[in-house]
Amino acid sequence: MSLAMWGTLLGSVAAVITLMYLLRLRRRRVEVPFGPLWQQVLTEKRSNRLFRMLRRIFSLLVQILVVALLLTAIAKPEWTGNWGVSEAEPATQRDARHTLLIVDTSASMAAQDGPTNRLMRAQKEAKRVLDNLPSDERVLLATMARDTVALTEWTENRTILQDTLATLSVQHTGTNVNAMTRFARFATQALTNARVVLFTDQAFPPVAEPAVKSLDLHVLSVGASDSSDNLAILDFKVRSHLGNALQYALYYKLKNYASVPVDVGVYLLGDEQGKATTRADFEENSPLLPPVYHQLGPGEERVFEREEIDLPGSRVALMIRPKTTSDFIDVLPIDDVAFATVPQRRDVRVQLVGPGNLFLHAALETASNVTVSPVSLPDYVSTKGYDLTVFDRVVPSSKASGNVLYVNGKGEQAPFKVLGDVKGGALRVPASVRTHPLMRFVKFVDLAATPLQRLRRRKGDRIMARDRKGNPAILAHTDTLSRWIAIGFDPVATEWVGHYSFSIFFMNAINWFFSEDVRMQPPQSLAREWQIRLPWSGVDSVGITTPKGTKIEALVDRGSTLAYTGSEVGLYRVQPPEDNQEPFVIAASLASVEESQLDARGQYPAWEAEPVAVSQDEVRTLLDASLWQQMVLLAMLILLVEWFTYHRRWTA
Amino acid sequence: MADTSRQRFDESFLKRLEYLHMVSRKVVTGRLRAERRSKRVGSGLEFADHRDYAPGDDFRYLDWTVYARMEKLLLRLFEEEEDLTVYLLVDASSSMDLRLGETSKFDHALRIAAALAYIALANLDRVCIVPFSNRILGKMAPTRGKNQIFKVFQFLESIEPGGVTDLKSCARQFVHQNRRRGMAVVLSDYYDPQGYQDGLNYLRYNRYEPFVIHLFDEQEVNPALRGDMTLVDCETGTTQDITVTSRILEKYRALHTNLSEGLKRLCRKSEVSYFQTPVQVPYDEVVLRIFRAGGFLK
Repeated sequence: MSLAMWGTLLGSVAAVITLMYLLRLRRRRVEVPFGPLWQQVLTEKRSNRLFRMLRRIFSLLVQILVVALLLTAIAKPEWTGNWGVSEAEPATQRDARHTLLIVDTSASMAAQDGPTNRLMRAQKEAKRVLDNLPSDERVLLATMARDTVALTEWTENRTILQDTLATLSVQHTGTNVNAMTRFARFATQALTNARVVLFTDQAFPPVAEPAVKSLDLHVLSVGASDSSDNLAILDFKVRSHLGNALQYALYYKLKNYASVPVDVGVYLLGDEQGKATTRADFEENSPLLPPVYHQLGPGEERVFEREEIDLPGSRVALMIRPKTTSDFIDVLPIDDVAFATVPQRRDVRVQLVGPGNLFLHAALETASNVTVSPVSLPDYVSTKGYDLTVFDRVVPSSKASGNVLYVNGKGEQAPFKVLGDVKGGALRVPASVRTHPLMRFVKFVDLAATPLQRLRRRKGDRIMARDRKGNPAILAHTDTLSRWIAIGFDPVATEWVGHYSFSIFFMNAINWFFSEDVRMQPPQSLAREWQIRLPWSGVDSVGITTPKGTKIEALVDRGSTLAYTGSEVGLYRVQPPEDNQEPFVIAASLASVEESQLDARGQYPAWEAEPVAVSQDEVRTLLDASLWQQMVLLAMLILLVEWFTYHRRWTA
Repeated sequence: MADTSRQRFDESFLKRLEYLHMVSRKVVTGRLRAERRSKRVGSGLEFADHRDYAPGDDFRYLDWTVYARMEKLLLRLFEEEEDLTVYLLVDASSSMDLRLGETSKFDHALRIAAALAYIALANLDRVCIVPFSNRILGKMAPTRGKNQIFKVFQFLESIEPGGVTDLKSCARQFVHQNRRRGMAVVLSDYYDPQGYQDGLNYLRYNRYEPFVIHLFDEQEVNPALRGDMTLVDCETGTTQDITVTSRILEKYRALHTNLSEGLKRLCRKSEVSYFQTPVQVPYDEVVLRIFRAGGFLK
């Protein structure tokens, strides 16, 4: 508190006291039978008028003195070597002992490897440390998980700290140690006498030693020393089955962190109504499939795949139930469940224009959700009403709009230009497009295309296949209005129609035209930050409903990329910008190799409680620190004296 | 007022008065006669004195025996027997009506006045009641006979207290209005800003027999006052700010005692009967103490 502020405050309070004092002098009226008697009494008493007046204001002066002492006490003055009240408060704050208490609330703290889980043990230890700290030591309480968050300010108020400590809960996220060290450095950078105490299970990569020293970091470990058995789902994905559009394929990865083999049952749970968001919601339903059982060896990490599975609904949950034995108890339940959204399929109407081509027709209808309508060129009207139009060896007389696939076509109204024919030869898929959705699982082995149209490549065209000389054999083009593919040879004249890649190519083509994602639907990991592309564009923010039903407003980057990271395992519902659009669902699981590993890692200085007995220096420190308390006591004593003298009528 | 009156002079009050009357007779008989003799010399039976003969005197009262011995004409004088008039002067100023405890001095004065009146009426004396403050507030005409007690009650109940005490001017007014001399029982707190001496002396000088009954309240002597306050004189309304301390209270008590002692000294010096009583003492006990002390009935 500055001198000016102190003076202003004292003046204000003194003015109020004076006013109250004057109000107090408004006397009560008492009727007496014979006033002259009292008059006579007063006549004799007035002889010492000056002394009487002095005594009258003595009470007021005492009260103002008391207020001055109290304000001085609140201002916590300290001797700076110069007379006058200095800017004592900031200096005191800076030089006082500061302890940053950080409680690990990451997912591993939910491990039940003792009578209570790790977080509860951490809370208990933190409370004990708080109780043992000197009462004037300033403390800041924070939590460490994926983010490190301050829960209080620097404060001496133990009640606030204890209350806040009691409200902590486990977050289903990983541990970001770097964020913790950055936070601790920032919180203590202006303080000369600060230390950091971390209550944790140490289930995270070790903190660098220089950081430990610079922060004066002490660790109070609450992890179990003997057992940290855990079996975790590290990954879980769902995709459409390539060979059967109505079915799906599963992929999941399990890891056994224990030193003994573990038998585990795997359960797949679905939700036809599309409302389940948490493990409890899914557990109300029966498993979609009979459970499968695996055995994982000590420390073994293995990937499992299950093909051609019927998945009703739009979301599934994978649960594991390890078999508990005398050697193994799975202590962390959070990583025993993983969620995924199911890729949705849609019906596709394809118009096949041309003289008739059974190979092509069959390839297009490989996917059961595709309906092919053969049309001859004279009967062709337009592409309107069809999701895709395939021109087989013909080109319409007018420009076709929308999604169009040209097979060995040539004409003025084609969007591509054919410069003639070349001899052609063996076809190859350029390395740059081998992962392109159009060419996924497509491989040309000893496939020669001859003759080959000499397609002119223009801006926006991408070569999906070419001959040895580099002549494009398949071009794909994407712009804002349409997509088209041009195949510069007749597949029927090649052996390609006999390969399975012929059907796959056309299935890929249909998926590519409709942006249907045939990749694995990756669930988001709570250990990492999310960058999710939304199916909408031009959106600044979206509303998100967390698995437990909390509604959050999240920002959208560049109009369609959701920048948000959840902290609960389950399914998140992203509200569409318009009412007629379907909501977007995000599946989130712990899926963290680091977090599921419950062993303590790293060596840190241990926290030791302050000794109870205080040294002579500490006594002096205590005396110095409690100067303001002594001043308050002195003020109270003066008040008592004033009260006594007032009632004895020594003062007026 | 009606409720207060019923409480003042109810049936039990009457019974107590009769009891007081009986007791008073016993008390007085032992020392004095039940009748009261006036000091006037007249045509009574008891010899009082001689005086020189003056032309025009009744020859029948000449003491011939003395003439035979001393050859002087002396006239025999006899005490004249007459009925006594008891004037009850009741102070009805505001200070009397100030209620500090359960009862006020005014109430107490009325009860004592009623009791004294009853006994006087029963003793065949005339009773006249005169309330006063800074003036005579009324007058109950002298009346005689025990059955007149209800008239006394009625009059006492009709007195409305108020005003400042001025005993001197009231005494002057009283003397001028009542030619018949008698006993003047003054029931008052004697809180007279002008002083009570002149008033009492005025009665004496006009051959009335003042009988001073000094009423006070214990809480007036030892007021439960502490701290800052404004004192308001209940009669004049004048105010004074004061911080009451124990020393001030001691001083006040000393002054109050001086006031009472001064009145007492005046009475003793003037051979005036003086009786002091706090309102906390029951009125019947007060009346008995008055009788025991003597002077009221002779």
